[in-house]
Amino acid sequence: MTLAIDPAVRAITVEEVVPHAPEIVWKVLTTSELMQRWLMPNSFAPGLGARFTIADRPIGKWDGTVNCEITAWDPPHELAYTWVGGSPENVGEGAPLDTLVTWTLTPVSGGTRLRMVHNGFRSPMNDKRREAMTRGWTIIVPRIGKIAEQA
Amino acid sequence: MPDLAVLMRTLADPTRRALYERVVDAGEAAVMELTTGSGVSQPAVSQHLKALRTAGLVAERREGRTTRYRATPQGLAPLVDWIGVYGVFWADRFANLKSVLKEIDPK
Repeated sequence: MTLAIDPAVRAITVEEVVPHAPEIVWKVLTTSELMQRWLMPNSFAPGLGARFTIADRPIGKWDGTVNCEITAWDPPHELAYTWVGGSPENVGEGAPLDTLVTWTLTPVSGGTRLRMVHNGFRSPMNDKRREAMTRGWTIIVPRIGKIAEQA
Repeated sequence: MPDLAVLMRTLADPTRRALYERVVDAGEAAVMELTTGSGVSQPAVSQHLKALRTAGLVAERREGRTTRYRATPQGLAPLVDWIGVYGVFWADRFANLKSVLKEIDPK
């Protein structure tokens, strides 16, 4: 699995080839009961424009409800939904979140290349400063996680 | 706590970032150990360590005549906001997703 956080564009990308057909992967990504098993409790409803919620754990003033709306629905190739939550009364973890999760499924020999991009994280910096920064570097998450655990 | 811009500017240098990763992996190390096999001169390593220390990413500890460096977890705190939280979250969920796939589509 490749997993990278790119702070310059504030996006998380996960990519992996899984030994299952795109149709199977699509089913697991878009069936409420199955989503509950790998993601979180949810009220997933299929189709473009459908709205659903995901129940995350509450943080501070946020009750943990993630509001989602499907913005791309192209079985079994592409799925995108908004991922909105948080509270303006929280700072850092638990702060307002207005993001997008996009899943792309590409058939490859022996399975599916599955790619997830979670982007739209608000940057604490303004755009000018962001542009001024050196671009194109990534931090691999397990390494950050290793350190974050001790923080 | 240094702000995110300082942190990112510090880590934007690939040589410095590689050095920081070496410190993280080593747990604690002296300049000598960090220089060996790094392809960077010892004075350069010292300079980068100084920058990492200023950014709050590493701390130093004197041990006799050598100074040993270690990563300071709280230095990364500005990065561990939502994006950091979700980085760990998705790594975890991807693993779950693979188990569910394996179960419903065994080979």
